[in-house]
Amino acid sequence: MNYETIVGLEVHVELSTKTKIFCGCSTEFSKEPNSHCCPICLGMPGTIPLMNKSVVEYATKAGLALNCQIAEFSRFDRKKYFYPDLPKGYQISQYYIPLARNGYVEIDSNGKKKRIGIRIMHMEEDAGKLVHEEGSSYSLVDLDRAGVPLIEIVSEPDMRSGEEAWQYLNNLKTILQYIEVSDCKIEEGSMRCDINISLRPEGSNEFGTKVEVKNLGSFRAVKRAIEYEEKRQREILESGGSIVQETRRWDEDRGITIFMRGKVDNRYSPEPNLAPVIMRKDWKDEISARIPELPGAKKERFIKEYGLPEYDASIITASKVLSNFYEECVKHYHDPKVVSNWLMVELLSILNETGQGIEDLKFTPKQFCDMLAMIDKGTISGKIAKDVFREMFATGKSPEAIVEEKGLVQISDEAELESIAKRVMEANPKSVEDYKNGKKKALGFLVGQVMKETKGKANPQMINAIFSRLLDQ
Amino acid sequence: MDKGTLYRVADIAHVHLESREIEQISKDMDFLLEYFDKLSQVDTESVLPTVCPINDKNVLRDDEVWDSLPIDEVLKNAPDKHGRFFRVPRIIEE
Amino acid sequence: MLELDKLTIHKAHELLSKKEITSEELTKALLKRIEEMDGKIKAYVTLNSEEALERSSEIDKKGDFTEDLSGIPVAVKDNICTKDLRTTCASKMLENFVPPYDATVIKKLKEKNALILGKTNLDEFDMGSSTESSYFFTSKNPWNLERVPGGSSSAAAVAADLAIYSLDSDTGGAVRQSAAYCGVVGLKPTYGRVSRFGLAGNAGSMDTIGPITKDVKDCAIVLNAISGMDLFDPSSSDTIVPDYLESLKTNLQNVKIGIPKEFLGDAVNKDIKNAILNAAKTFEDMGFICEETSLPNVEYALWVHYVIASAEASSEMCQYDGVRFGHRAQHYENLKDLYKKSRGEGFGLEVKKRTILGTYLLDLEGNDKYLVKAYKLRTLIKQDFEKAFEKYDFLITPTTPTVAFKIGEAKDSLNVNDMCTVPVNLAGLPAISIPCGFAEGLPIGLQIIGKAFDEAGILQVAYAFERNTDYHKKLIAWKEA
Repeated sequence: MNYETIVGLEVHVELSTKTKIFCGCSTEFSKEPNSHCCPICLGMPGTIPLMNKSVVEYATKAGLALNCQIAEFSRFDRKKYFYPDLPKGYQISQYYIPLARNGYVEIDSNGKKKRIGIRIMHMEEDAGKLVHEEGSSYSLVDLDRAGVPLIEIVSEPDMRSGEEAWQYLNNLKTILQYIEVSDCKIEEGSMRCDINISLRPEGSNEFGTKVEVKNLGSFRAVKRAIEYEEKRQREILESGGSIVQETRRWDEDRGITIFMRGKVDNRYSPEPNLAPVIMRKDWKDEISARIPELPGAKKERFIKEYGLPEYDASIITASKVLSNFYEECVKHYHDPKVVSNWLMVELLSILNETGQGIEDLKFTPKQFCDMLAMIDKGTISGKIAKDVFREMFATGKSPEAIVEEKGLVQISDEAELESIAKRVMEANPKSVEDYKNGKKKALGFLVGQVMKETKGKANPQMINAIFSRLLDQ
Repeated sequence: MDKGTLYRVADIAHVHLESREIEQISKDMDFLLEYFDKLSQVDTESVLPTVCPINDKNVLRDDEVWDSLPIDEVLKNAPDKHGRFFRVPRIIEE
Repeated sequence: MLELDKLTIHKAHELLSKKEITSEELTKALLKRIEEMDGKIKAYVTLNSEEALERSSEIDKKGDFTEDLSGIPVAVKDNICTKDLRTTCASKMLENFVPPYDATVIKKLKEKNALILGKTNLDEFDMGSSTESSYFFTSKNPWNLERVPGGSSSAAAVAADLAIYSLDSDTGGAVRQSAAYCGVVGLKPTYGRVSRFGLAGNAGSMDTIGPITKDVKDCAIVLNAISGMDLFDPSSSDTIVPDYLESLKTNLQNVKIGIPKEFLGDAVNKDIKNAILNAAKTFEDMGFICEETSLPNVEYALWVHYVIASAEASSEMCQYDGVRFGHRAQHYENLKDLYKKSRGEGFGLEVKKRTILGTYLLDLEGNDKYLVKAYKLRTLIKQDFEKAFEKYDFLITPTTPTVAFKIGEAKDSLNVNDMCTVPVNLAGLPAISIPCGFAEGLPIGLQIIGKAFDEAGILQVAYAFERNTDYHKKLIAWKEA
């Protein structure tokens, strides 16, 4: 029998507000444990949560960017469980009346657009961190993350493969980064994802028993875990077994999921100490006005406005900073495709090598375009330009200064080039002979020798022309 | 309330009960729940519940950082601590 | 000879201002009285003698007594957090808890140079009405040591001159009931009038902080000091705070008082009923109009209050887990067992009972019917009051249906002694209890309930009553005897 995979994701995203959700303690990463704690986030007697206005605004912004309906009236509840990283014995969350519902994120599924529904998006507080020292019979508790604001985004079970889940997460991340509510770094824990996965016979309309998978450290891990679970569950079903509702843990090293715990019933009760969040139209409109052009729309525009291929447009708009950098460049340079080639190949690879971000770039879009213009004018060759670019990246100096300093100006002097060409011909009679005998490839070798001699500074068009003239005589 | 239920609820509430407490509480519960059941019959069909005394306006704090507690104050009341951490018995991964 | 421990706030303030006495003398006099008497009454859980003395001599040195409360010692109920001073909630769970912060009311009093004399007893986490569930001991009623002092021993402290006044808390009536049992004045403000930040409460939607004093004027003085909006309590109100002391000078006219018949039924002791009717007569003699009225749904109040209080308490009590603070068990098998044992050992019977009941109501499938019902009935009770206040300016009732009961004779959990006080908490209204007579040699309390945020009105009526009667003076006469 063929099975269809049904995937839903629960994503937690840390909001990048300055302070925690219910107190004024800083959300910055602390150098030492328990340095961002106060009576409120420690859950001490008689303290009352104080709602952070920015959290409401960031969360609403996210809800709107994810095409959700925003509740005019939402409320907080207590999700009760005992765990040492959770002060108070309950997590303040939104259960009965969440902030946002019924949104979606678009992905590409086999070349077609597909909407992945968002069932609920709500605000809640993060828990602290447990440190397990090896060999010790104790665990240590650090509560600096306790009370950091989160949004939880619960998708509909709309994804059908690991690939779709991977796309959904990427698009979700891009959107949230675009609206600047979170840095969404899954490796650092500011974005976290749990998987709900089940299988059903193809053609069936009923859902099978779902399994929850936790401890996913990267988008790739999400994809792999889904693919692993697909296989595991299929094998159970095919051998006549049945799936048990449970929570499993992804083991990245072994590439498998492991049983963690059985089904648990969460206990909720209303939070009597927090007033409801009232999101009236004027406030919502104000927040909505602050939402910039989102990646989907920007990509479409780049295709139309700059004539970029869809591939280029997706890569450039996958990052807000990159797309902004791109648009600045296009203001200063006439050929948008040349710019996208350079950014996609040279820039992204050097960023990848160095692990830096675009926001750390030392040069400006204008300087970058000046360099492209120098190629067009023949001041430098395209090959030299790559070196200049790396130097700009490293030092932030202007391309003119680099070319000047390093003497990288292209040799475009006809007479000088001719004398070099002649010298090369004399030194390589065999190649000259080959060329004359019809081995046109030999020209490449001769040009290469000139480049070697001039350290790449010879104007390639001119040297080609000179050789043609000299050899074809 | 039968002792099975009482034991289950106490377990959810994470409260250990001694056997004499179980006797006492189960007796009191019976009285209370019986009373509750009587009152459940009062008609409140069209009445809105009053949960939170404030529910008509936003009460929000500006996103401004305040001073957190110094570490000795944070840990002052901890029953067990280690360095800058609170300490609990080792948690075995479930 | 002037007995300093017997002073009211306003008298002490007058003497301090004139430099006829010093704050240190006053503090010493109270500490001496405590030393002599508290062995019998057992009002204090923790004394703050050294610091109080130190502060008093500092204040004397500065000599600035412009603030009404400057240099005057106060007793504080032990569920109101005091920085660097143990706050136990009369529970083993918090036996060693020393808060790193002050409750807002404490901060306000300290700003006015008040001195904290010590922390007074209560039922464990304020669950009860007799202090019998305190982990430490049962406090005694100074009028009769075999009787309970009510749910807060601070009223006993004020009545027995172990404190000039106290700050107390009221979730179901503790301030008013204890004041009534001990023959002093206790005011429960409107929900939101006084910040509850730092009050280790158990029912967030009903907890309030209020003063217990020797007379109405003192009550106005303390209310002036502690009222107002607080950024640390989102439920605190920005409604304007009048000068309560100043407002006592207002001459009341055309006052209409309602007497809800539900509070004068069979459950109410005959002498108390008569005392309330006499009080009504006193008001009529003053030109007020008094009429019988009805609050038909208050008969459900005890039940509604118990359900809501238990539900709110069960989740509020979750924060006591012995990780960051509080009692931790020595012997346990695993993490869950650690929680269960720590909480099992740290909490007493009544706290466990309410926690379990609350858990049952909130977390067992289908049981939310009780809670939803309770919240709905709460609406009906609130509406009863709203309707009554369309016609009347104030309502009067007994504060308690009987005088202070004997230690060990507390009724079941749904304590009928709270029948007159809990409806007021459910509706979030202000009410005061003042002495209005005696039965069995014990004081009777008159409860005056007002419209939301009309503390000034309540104080005016209470003040008028106090000036036209001599019950509060009987307290003094009794002390002298």
